[in-house]
Order: sequence, then structure tokens, then C-alpha cells
Amino acid sequence: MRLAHQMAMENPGKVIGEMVSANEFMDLSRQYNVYGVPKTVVNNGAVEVEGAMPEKLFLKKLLEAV
Amino acid sequence: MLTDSGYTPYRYTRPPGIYRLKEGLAIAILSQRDADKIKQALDALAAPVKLLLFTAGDGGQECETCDDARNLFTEVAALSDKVTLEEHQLDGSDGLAGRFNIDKVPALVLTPADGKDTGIRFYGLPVGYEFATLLEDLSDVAKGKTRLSDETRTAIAGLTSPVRIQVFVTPT
Repeated sequence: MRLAHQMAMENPGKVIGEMVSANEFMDLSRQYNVYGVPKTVVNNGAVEVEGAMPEKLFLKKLLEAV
Repeated sequence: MLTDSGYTPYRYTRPPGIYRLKEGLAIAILSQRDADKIKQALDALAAPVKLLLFTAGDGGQECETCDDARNLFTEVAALSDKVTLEEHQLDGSDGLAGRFNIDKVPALVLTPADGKDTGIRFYGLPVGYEFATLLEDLSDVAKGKTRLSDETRTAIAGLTSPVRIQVFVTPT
């Protein structure tokens, strides 16, 4: 979770990092088939990753979505 | 769980909890021990920070946890002069929800004292491990910098199109 927020901080004009409490937003969780957490969704499904990622991989996945 | 290399997350005896005392009355309770630790972390912030809380307005949006969020963040903000809490409505006339692209509630935005957007959003309650995320984020916001590598920061700074990262979590 922290990486998404840190990346947002580095370029808030372009990057928004959102924590989404899966239990509180069930419809959204269903929309993205959230079965395991953390689940990272970039640009509304352009990239989806289940499980924690180290910084380098997180960046790679993010860049795949743009 | 994502952690920064070499960074030790805050540990609590238990996650800040949300307890329903009785129907219709919800209250967030930080134990005294948690409150002491959180106060220590907040007092140590390098600069004042703001918590912008967005809750349901008069537009009839459902929000089961808005009261819990209000109670939790009110307690947190009361712990230290470094933290100011502002509450805004999703459909408020100030248009702030639109400015921050807030599309559901409860939502929390962290900003420095000048209210400038950091891109940091919490949708729903940051309980369990995510409460530590909140404190670590606040430390970054106060300092105005992150611990990301130079390589990552350069890549992020060079982005020219919008990126929305949603990380789904559950209380742990």
C-alpha cells in the first residue's frame, strides 16, 4: 500500500494512489474480482496484480499501464 | 504486505479498532497505549499536516462507516497540534470533493498545511496495518519527500499521462 502513496507523492499532478477497503466497497471489489489482498489495479484494470510487490516490480507494472 | 526496505513499520498492541457500543452509536476507540504511541509519532512530524475527510452529504449517498471515520480521525487529530482535521461533504458547495476527484465515502486525503494535493487517498477506514501506512504517509507528507529510489522517482516524475493506482486491502 505504501508504494502507491509514495509514487503519488512523487507526482501528484499525474498519479493518484488509493487505498480501498475491500469490505467497505464490495461492488468495486467484485468489479475487479478481488479475492486476495493486497490487490493492485492500475488505470481501471489496464494492469491488475494480486499480492505484494517490491518497488521495482511495482514501478514496472505501473509503467505497463500507461 | 508492502514495506520499504530497511523500514520498520509501527507496531501496536492491537489495531486501532472500531467498536459498536449499541445500535446507532458507533465510536472509534484508541487504547491509551495506542494513543500514546500515535501521539509520539504525530508530535515528531517535521511539519503540520492536514487530514481532509470526505463524508456523505445531503445527496443521500450511503455511508455505513462515515461516523466511524469521523470518530477515528477526530481522536487522531486531537492527539497532536501537528494534525488538523477538516471534514467536507461529498456534494459540498465548496467543490473540494470534485477538486480531489473523490468519488466515494468515507475518503481521506492527506495534505501539508497549505492543502496542496499529495495524490494520497484512503477510501474506507485505515485500520489494522493500514493505520501504520497512514502514520508513515503523514511522516512523508510532513517532510515533503519519500524514501523511493532515485530510479523510481525519476520514472514517476516523467509520467505524462494520468495514473490511478487502486490497492484493495482488508483489515489485518
